[in-house]
Amino acid sequence: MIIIENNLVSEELLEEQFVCDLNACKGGCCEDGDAGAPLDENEKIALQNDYAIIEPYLTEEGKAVIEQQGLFEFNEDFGWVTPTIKGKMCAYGYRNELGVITCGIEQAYRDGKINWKKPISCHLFPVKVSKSEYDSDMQYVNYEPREDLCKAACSLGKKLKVPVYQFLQEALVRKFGSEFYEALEATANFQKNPS
Amino acid sequence: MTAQSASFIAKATIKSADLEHRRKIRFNIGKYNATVPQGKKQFEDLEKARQLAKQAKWKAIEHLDQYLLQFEEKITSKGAEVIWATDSNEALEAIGKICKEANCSTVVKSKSMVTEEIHLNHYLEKNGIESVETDLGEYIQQLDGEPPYHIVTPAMHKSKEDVARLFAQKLGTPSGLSPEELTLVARKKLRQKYLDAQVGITGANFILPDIGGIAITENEGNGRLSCAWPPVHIVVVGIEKVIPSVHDLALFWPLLSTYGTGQRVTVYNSVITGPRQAGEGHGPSKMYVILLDNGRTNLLKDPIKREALYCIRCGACLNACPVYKNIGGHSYETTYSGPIGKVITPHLRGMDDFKHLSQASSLCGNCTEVCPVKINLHELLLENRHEAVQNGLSSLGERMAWKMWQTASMHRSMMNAGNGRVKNWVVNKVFKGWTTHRADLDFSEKTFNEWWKANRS
Repeated sequence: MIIIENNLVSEELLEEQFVCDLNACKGGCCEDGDAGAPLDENEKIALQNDYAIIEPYLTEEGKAVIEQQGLFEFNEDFGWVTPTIKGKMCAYGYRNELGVITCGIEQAYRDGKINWKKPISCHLFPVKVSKSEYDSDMQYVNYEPREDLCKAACSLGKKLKVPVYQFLQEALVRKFGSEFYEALEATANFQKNPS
Repeated sequence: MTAQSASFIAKATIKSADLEHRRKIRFNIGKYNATVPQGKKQFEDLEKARQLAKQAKWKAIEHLDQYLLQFEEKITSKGAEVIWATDSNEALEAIGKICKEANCSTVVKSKSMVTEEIHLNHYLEKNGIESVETDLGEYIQQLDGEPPYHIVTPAMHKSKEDVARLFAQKLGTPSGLSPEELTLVARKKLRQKYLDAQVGITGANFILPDIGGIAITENEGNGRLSCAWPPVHIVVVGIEKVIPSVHDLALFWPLLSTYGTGQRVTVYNSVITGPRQAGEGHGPSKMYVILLDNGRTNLLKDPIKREALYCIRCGACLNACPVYKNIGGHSYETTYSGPIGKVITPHLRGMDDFKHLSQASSLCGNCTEVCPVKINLHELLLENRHEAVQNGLSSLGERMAWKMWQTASMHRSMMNAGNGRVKNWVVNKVFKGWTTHRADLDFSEKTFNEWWKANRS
């Protein structure tokens, strides 16, 4: 366990290796699981503000689901999450010409129309951040790849020797700031070379 | 596998799967590809121009010792000081000393790959001196804390939306500004820096020994301001930038601009032959030219590979390279990326650590095809591979694989052994590395030799 400020970070972020292999998984994390993508309060507000901009990027099915269920929905286990199409793909996703699920929010960001990339929970995947049950100030930062879905990503990461934290640099900096990332990197370097 | 090559493979694999990156590169290189043919039209006989340019560079490199001394003598007589730097450290120390003497707290820089090569900004920052990149692309990269992505267009991998977002984050501008508005923001920020700076640092595109001058080519006027406004001007230039005469500029300026950006001639071309002279009202009172070796003489001493020193850094080979377009400029983790980077970096920074770059090529030869000074880039990549093997730098696995390949190729019976299915299994399943990024190989049931025997005998 690595403690950085109020975050308890699993050592797996440094020790395990991971590189998304979209050719193999086709963005399966956008349709696999028991609920949509968890959203924080700011993201809920941003979705309300930006939905008119994001909407043209979505599928007809996605738009219909959002119209019916709302921009987000409440799930007992995960809190506020994005709605899903028939319990599968996130309503904000669409399949690109290669069959890979792509995020409509992210595409709007890339086109310079909004200033946030996608829900941070998606950006951080397969790292999961959860609040401690015992101390509301503490957060757990764990590495939780899907066993089947992320198998290809785990082997690609091993083959390329890319640690999880390095692969997720952008998302970790977005969530926790660059000092957090530098602390992680320094810890990784220290573990490699304790002298 | 060295740490450097493992990192290259990792970065290249991740980047090549990034379709958004590819979209941006395709867009930007597409614009370049559309403009270059227009620029080429200005040449009545383009092939001849390229050949003449190659000959001029051949002459310059073959007589480099004489030309450099001639340059030193001429420019020194006009009051500039020439400093010979063997490596990065010597160059940095010299710059540090000059800045100290000038009580320098701010440096303005124009775009220069050689200052990237010696990590000048890092050095200045460490010594408490603010170093401001004034080329717009470099300014964007400096704001983002990234090295240049491309030797001519440093922020080629960023879309206009990316830049607007960066300016909003780092400079607090309103979001969604247009490229014109962003340029005006940069212009306003940078103008003050010129006034504040005590030292201006530039590179040089050409060294002109016959008149004792250097030539700077740029599109934004920032290079001219950097060398003309601050009281001290430092030029950092690689020794290979010599062309025999000022008259050769008539050939090299249009070639550089056509192949670099597709322009007929770049907007600002300056020739500088020394600091402010008696009776002149403007210009820096002191000028220093740092002639940097930093491994270039390793190439010079090799009669075949010295051809790589003909490079005028137009970036055409990068834009033409299918590998560069997929893995991007940062995967190389070198100052000079793309085909020319693969050729020269092993000699500038060590064959053992950078030999893998010479392997990262399909040898399609498009780089050679587009080089304005006709450097045989793809053949030099083969030369590098050869040198690495001759020096015993290949891995045991690689040597074994080639030994097996040689044995099999030289024995007909081994090639005929097993049928197509067995061969498919061996290649596709046993040597999985082959199929990681490729479709399965599909051998025919019989070899040609077997077919010939069966059908023609």
